[in-house]
Amino acid sequence: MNPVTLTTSTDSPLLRARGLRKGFELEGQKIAVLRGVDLDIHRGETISIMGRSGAGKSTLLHVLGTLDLPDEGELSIAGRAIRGMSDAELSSFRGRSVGFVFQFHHLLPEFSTLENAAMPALLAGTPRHQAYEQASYYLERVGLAERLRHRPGELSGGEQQRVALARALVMRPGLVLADEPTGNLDEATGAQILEVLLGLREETGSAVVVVTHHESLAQAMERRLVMHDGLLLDATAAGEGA
Amino acid sequence: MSVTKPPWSLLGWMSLRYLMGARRSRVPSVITAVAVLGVSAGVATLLVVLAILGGFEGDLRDKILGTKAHLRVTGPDEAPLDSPDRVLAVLDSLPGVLGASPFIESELLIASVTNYSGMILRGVVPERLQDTTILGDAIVEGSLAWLHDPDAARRARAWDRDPPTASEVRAPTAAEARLLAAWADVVPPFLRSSFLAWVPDSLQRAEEARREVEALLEDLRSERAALEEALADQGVLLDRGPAGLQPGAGAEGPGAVGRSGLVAEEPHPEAHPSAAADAESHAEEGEAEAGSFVMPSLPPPTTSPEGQSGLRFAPTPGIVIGSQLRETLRVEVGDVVQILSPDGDLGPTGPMPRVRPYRVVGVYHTGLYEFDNAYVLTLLESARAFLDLPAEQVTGVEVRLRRMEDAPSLRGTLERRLRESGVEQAAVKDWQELNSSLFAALQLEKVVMFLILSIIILVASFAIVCMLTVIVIEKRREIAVLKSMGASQGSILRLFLLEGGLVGTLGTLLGLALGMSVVAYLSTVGYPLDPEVFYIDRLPVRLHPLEAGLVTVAAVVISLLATLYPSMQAARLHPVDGLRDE
Repeated sequence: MNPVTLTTSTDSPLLRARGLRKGFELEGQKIAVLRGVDLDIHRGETISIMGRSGAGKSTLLHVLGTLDLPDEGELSIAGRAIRGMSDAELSSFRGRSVGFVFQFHHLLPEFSTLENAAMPALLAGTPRHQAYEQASYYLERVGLAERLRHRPGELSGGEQQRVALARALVMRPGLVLADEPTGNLDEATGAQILEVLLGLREETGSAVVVVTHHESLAQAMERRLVMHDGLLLDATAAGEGA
Repeated sequence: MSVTKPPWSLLGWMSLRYLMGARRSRVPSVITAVAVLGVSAGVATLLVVLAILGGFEGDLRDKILGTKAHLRVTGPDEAPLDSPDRVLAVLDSLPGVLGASPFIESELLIASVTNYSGMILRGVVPERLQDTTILGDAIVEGSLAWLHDPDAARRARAWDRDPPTASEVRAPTAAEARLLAAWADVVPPFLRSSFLAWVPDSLQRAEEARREVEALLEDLRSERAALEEALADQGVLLDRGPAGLQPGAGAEGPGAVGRSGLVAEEPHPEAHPSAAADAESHAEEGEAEAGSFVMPSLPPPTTSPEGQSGLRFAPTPGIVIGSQLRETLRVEVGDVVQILSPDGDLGPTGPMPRVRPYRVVGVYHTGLYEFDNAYVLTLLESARAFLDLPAEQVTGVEVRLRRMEDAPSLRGTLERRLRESGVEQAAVKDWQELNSSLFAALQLEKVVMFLILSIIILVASFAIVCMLTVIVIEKRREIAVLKSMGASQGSILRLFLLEGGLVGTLGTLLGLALGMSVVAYLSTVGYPLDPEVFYIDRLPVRLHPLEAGLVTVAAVVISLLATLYPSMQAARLHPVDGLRDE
């Protein structure tokens, strides 16, 4: 299989990655994780990325979400090149344009459900009441209207992940990156989360990239990609074929 | 693209939340509590120590400035001053001057029967001394005024120890009775009640004694007639009128002393056999030494000189000593001590130290050991006479000001005025100059103590470093999540700076409250000290607002500096590192 330029549409993509390379030094040995990834993501698109553990899926997600910078290659989101942006600009941009959902929800234990969901808006300087209004809307949408004052520790795993979903979407970001959002949940709960995620996507029009081991979750995505040996391969056809 | 920073209020709110700690983990809140307590303990310690240092310094300063002058006028190069009257005239007209007092000072030796000590004899004018030093208020026994009437001390003491028997008193005249009543004011308060109670009774007994004495005198007169013939060539003493015996003023020589003393005791029939022993016992007390002490004698009631009582003594000059010196010499008010000067007269075997008796008429207690142990006050004239100084000459003039802070400026004014009024040979020094080494040492001590004690806060600030480092490690994931949600490095830095600053400020405020409480407790309730050791009865505390402010600022600044490093680490934390390991 060869690396391919994954384009399905002709209009300018939301995210455009070209020749992304990323490596880590481990005990003096350089380990290449990404070995030239090309990817275009269009607005509203849903993509799944599968692959074996250690294939570089999470790293790719971090690079796409600007949490990590590529060693080589170009990345631009919404027409803006990531390279050369200052930390402050990048953070601000990330907060507005990218929503993250992690395997282990990563909620802030000191803050209530509402405060957690409102945090990206608060950090972006949104007035408190407005941020809470937005957050409570999305919390309602994920079915947690009754748990606004609870601390994350008082919620179940599925509820926590739903708070994380509300948090990822509160800024109506163009891109939602989810790293094994159902990896820590039982199948039924996972399916529920997927349902909520896709439902919200309809509303916000965000592109969604999900890294997952769950075939069912991957099947629910429009495009299915496979990470292999530091390269990204299109598996949509294969999946359809299967 | 616009970069929006999260407002400080948001970061403050967040850091407060972090401070409270999560319910899930109590570790950060325990460490936070330890850090807060560490800082507050440091601040409180620093405050209390500074307050105590300040207290000691203030105590010392008050005592020194109370006993010593704010300004001192002497001749040039510490030479004696020849024209104190003109200097005093200038000083008395100078506004801002509370009082001025000429003094003579010389280092001499003082000896009692049991002990001796080096001391500084200080000739003073008691009336002026009241305005120049706190010594007037520091008199604990006797009186400064008794310097003018040293016998008052002896009388007070005699009454105190064992009320005089009739043998020591003759019948008072009406004028003397009034005087006796007036003495009640002179007698120290602690003696007053017993004195007043004693007076009427004694008058009664004295009248009886007087009649007996008259009878005895009759006998004596006849004996005297016989003696006069036998001692015609020595009739100096016995040529007085027959009505009584004149006071044996010391000027008449040692022979007169012994004899008049003997005669004085004789009139009382009961005292008669023991009169000699009585005189001896007085001699043992060191009162009959050097030939100037005279036992009470019985002058004729009608010819009492200066209208004083008949109880007359030779003018043994009075001194007022400090409480420490009193301890050393083991003397009481009323006792006679010897003052010795090395440069004395030429005797048969070469130079002899000059020795003169002085009567202790008062004891002062300033609480300053160096002072209470050294300075012996006497009248200017008697010091001058003893030291054989030229008339008018004094060591210098001490000046007390209304406000001691005015000393440097008034000093200039005084120098100018002195020149204007023709006093050329005068030099003025202010208290800072007079005690420069002491105050410089105190200042240095305080600065060094502040620096050393700041290390306490520094150590406490390590608790902040530690706390924040633990929190940063503990919150790596959350920091990463915050970054993924758009928190920049700057925001994270500010968040943790705020948190550390909050801990530092909280600890500082707590420490301020704690320290202030301890200081308030020490200054109101007090911590008792052994006066024998420390010379003050309780721990002095004095906290300057400026110092408290300095401690506060220092503590907050040190806390913030301590916060800086872990905060920067938190800010630099790579989000991916925080998210990776589970």
